[in-house]
Amino acid sequence: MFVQLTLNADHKDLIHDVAYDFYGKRLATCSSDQTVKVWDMGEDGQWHNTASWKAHCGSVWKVTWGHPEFGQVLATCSFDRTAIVWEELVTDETNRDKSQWLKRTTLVDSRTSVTDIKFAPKHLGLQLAICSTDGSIRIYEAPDVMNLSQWSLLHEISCKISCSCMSWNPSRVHPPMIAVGSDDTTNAAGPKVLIYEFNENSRRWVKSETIPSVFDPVNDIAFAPNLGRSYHLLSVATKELRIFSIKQQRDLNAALQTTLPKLEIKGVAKLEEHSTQVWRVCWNITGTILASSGDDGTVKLWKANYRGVWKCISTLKGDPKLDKSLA
Amino acid sequence: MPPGGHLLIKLIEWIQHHFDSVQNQISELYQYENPTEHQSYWEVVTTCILQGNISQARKLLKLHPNSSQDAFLCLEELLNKMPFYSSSSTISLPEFGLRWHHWQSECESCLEDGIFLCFRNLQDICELLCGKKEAFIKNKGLCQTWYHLLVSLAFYTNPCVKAIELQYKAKECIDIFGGDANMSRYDYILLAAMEFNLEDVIHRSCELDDAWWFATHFTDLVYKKGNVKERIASSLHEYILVNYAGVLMSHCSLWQVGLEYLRFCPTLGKAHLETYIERIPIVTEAKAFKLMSIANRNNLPHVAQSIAKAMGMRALKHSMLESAVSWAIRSEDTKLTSYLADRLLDQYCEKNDISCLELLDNMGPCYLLNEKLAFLAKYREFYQLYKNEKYKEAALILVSLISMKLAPKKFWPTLFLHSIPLLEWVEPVLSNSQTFQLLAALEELLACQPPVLTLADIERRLDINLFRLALTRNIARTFISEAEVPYGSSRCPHWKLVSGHRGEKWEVHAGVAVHAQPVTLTVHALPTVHVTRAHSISSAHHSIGGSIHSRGHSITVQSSGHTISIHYLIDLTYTVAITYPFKTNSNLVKSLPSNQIWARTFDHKKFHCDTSFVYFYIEDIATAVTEMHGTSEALHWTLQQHQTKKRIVEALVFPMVTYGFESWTLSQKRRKRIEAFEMWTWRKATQSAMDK
Repeated sequence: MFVQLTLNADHKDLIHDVAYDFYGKRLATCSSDQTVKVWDMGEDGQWHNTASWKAHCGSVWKVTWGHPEFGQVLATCSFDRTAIVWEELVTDETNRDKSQWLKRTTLVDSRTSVTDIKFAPKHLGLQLAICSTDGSIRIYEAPDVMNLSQWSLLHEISCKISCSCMSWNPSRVHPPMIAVGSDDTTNAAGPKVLIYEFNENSRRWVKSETIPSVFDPVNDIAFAPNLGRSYHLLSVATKELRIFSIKQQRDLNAALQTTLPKLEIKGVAKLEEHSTQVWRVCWNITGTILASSGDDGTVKLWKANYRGVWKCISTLKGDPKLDKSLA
Repeated sequence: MPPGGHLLIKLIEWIQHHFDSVQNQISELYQYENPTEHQSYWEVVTTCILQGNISQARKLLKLHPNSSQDAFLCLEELLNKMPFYSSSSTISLPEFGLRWHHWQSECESCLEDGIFLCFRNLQDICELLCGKKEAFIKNKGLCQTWYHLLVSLAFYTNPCVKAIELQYKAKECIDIFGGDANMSRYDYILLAAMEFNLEDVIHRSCELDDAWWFATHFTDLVYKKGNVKERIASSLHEYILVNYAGVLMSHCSLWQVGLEYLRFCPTLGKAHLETYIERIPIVTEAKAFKLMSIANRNNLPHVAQSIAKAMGMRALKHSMLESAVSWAIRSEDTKLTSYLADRLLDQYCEKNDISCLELLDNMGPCYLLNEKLAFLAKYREFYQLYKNEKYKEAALILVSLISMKLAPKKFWPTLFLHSIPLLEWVEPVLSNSQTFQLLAALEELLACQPPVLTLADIERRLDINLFRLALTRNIARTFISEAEVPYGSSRCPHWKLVSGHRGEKWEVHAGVAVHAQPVTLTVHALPTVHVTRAHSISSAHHSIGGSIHSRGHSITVQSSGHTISIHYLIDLTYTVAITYPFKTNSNLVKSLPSNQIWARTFDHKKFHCDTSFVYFYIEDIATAVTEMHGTSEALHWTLQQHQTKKRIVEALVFPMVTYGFESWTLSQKRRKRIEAFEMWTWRKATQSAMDK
C-alpha cells in the first residue's frame, strides 16, 4: 500500500539524486541543470520548495545531509570536479518559506568528476568522503564543527578504478569502513566493489577486501544500519540487486595482530526481479527493508523473513496519469 | 492437555462470546408484543440450542402458547435432564460420558415415539439433541461459520472431545461450509491452531495485513506461557516484536507505545531504541525534553546528548544563544559548551545585559562542567549580591574572579567597570590588598603580550583613568581606615607628606611617633614622583647590604651613620631610592637584625604585588627603635588628628610609588600616565593647601 505524491520539482534537466534529512522532514534534490533545491514538509503535510540555487557549473550528481548535531548542512558533488559544503542561514523564523544556503567550502582536490559524496557516521566527527572518476577517495574533516569553512584533507586513497559510488559502514563498534563501487567498463573481469578499512595502528586506510562475483558496473552501494547485528549488510545495485553480508572474523589472538582481521563476505541474496539495471539502493533506518529502483520504472521494497530469505514485499510504480496531469 | 469435557466448556464459552448477536435477537424478542409470533422465534431458540445455551432455550420455549402440551413438556424435561460437565462437578469424565449417552438415548426414544411429530420445530431441536448430523447440516445457516458448527456438533455428538480430535472434525465442518474455497486467512490460522501447528499459526499470522498486530501478541502469549511444550525461539519472538514495534514507531503518535515494545527485546531492543529515538523529529523543546528523558530512562545517555546537541545547534543558528548554552550543557559536550559560553560572554560584553545569564540560575551544579560557565555563574552570583546591596560579599567575589584567573582576561574591563562603584562607595568596600590586586590586574591586562584587547577596545568599555582614580582613592582610604585598627605587626604605617614640589625632593614622614622624632623616608623623585635617574643617586652612603638581584630589578642597600637608602634599579635609566634617615641613634643600623629584615623582605611573595615590603621596613625599624627605647607607646597612631583631605593626598603618593617600583617597566606611555597622575596629585595637594 502506498500513496503517490508527485512533486513538480521544476528542475530543468534530469534529477540525479534525492536525499531525506535525518528526520525525514526535509528533502534535497539535485539535477543536471546545476541547481540544488531544498524542500520542507509543511504543517499541512505538503512539500514546499524553500530554497533553490545554482550550486555548481556542471551536473550535480549527489546531494547529502549532515547530522543535525552539526546544524543544517548539505554537501553536493558535481561533474565540475568540485564538492561543496552548504549551510543554511536562518534569517527570520517567521519567514520559513525561503531560506538561504551559504557556500561554506569548496573542495577542489579532485581532478575529475566527483561522483559521490557521503558524510561519515556521526561518531567519527564531522568527516566527509568523496570519490571521483579518477579512482580516488578523499576524506576530509572539519576539526572545528563550529567552523564549516575549514576542511582538511585527511586521507587520499587511490582505488585505481573509476569510482561511481561509495558508502560508509555506519557501525559504531567496528573500525571505520568504506565500500566503493565502480562502473568501470574497461576491465570487465575486475572486481567492482572494494572494501577499505581504517587501520588504527598505521592510521591509514587499507584495502581489506574485494567482493568477488560482482563484475558488472556498480551503480549504487549502501551499507545497512547495523542495529546490534553481528554482521554488516551491504547492498549493491548492478544489473541486478545483490546483498552481501560482511562479517569480521573473530581472532582469538587479535591483540597480537598488526593487520586488520579478515572479512568473511557472503552473498545473501541476488534479486533479479527488476530484470533491468538497478540504479539506486537505500535502506530504512533499522536496516530491515531495502528499497531499490530500476530501469523498469519501479521501486521495489525488500525484506528478509525470519529465516533470512529476502523477498519483495512491495512494488511501487508511478502512475503516469498523475504525472501527466501535472505536466 | 485439559480433559475433553473441560475443553468443550471453553469452546462453548468461546462460541457464545464470539457469536453474541443472538443476545440482541433475544432482547428484541422480549420487547415484541408476542414473542412466539416473531418470525425469528424458532431461529433464536435453535441458535440457543446450538450454542449450548440450554437455560435460555427453555425460557423461550416456556413463552410458547402451547408450552403446556405434551411435546413441549417432554422437550422441557429432556432439556432439564441434560447432563452438564463442569470443572467443579464431582463426577468423573467417563461417568459423565455414560450419563450423556444415557440421556441421548432417551432423546432418541422420544424421537422414535413420534412425540414431536406435530411440531416440526421441536422435532428439529430434538434431532439436534440426538446429535444427528443431517440436522446440523440443515441448520448450518444458523451456525454462520464452520467453527461454530464444529463446536455445536461436538457438543451434541462427542461432549468428551479431546483437543487432538478437533482437527478431524474441523475438516468435516469445513467441507460442509464449502471447503477451502471459502476459507479466509483467519480460518486457516484457526485450523492450524486446532492442528497444534504453532509454526504454521505464526507463519500465517505474519502474513496478515494487520501490521503484525496479531502475530506479535499471539507469539508473545505463547512465548510467555512457560508450560507449552513448543516454546518459540526467542529470536523469532523478538523478530516479530521488532517488526510490530517498527510499525508503531513510524506512526506520529504511537511511537511511544512502540518504545515499550522495543524495551522487551533483549538483544535487538537497545540498538533499535537508539536508532528510533534519535530519528524522531523534534518539533518543540518539550518534545526534545521528552525524548531525552526517554533516552535516559532506556540507558542511552549518548542519544540524549545527541538530541541536546542538535537542539543546541538549532538554537545557535536561530541566534538564541542562551537556549543554545543550556542545551549544550545538557549535551555534556565540553567543547561546544565552552564555545557557546565564550559567545555568551562576548554577547554579554557587547550588550551588558545580565538577563541572558538568568539561565544559569536554574542550571544547578552542571555549570562545573566548564570553567567559563563556572565564571558566569560566579559572576551572576556577584551581580545578585550587588543588587541586594551586599557589597562586601560582592567585592570579595569580584576580586577573587580576577585574582584566581577565573575570569577571562577579555572580560576584565567589564569587571573593572563594576568595581568602580564599589571603590567609590561611601565606606570602603574593597580592602587595601584587594584594591592592589585590582590595580595589578589592570597593569597585567595592559602589559600582557600579545595583547588580549587593544587599548581602544578596553577604553571603549572602561574609562581607565576613572578606574585608576577610583583605585587610588580607595587605596588611600583603606590605608587610613585599615590603619585605624591595629592588628599585630603587619599593619601599615601612616605616611605624612612633609614637603614636596615637582622636580624636587619628596620627603615623607612615616607616622610612627618615636619620641616625637618621626622616621623620615625620603623619596628622590626626579623627574617624577618616584623615579630618579640613576646618576643622580647620592652614593655617599657606605653600603651595608650590598646588591640583591631579583627579577631583573637591581636593589642596592646603602647606609650611612644616619640613613639607610634602598635603591631600586628599575631599568638601566631609572632608579628609585628610598632613604631612611635615623637621627636618634647611629647605632641603630648595627642593632637592626638586618639579615632577618632582608630575608623577610625579598623572600616575601608580596614583593611583586603590593607594598608590604615597604611596610616591613618601616615597621621593623620602628620595632627596633621601640625596642631600644623600651616603650610600646611608639606604635600609637595619631591618625585622628589629621585632616582627611590631606591624608588622602598623602596616601595617594605611596601606593603609586611603591607600586611603581614593584612591577612597572616604564614605557613612554606609562611615563605619561604617571606624570598625569602626578599632576593630579599635585593639584590636589595644592588645593588642599589652599583650602587651609
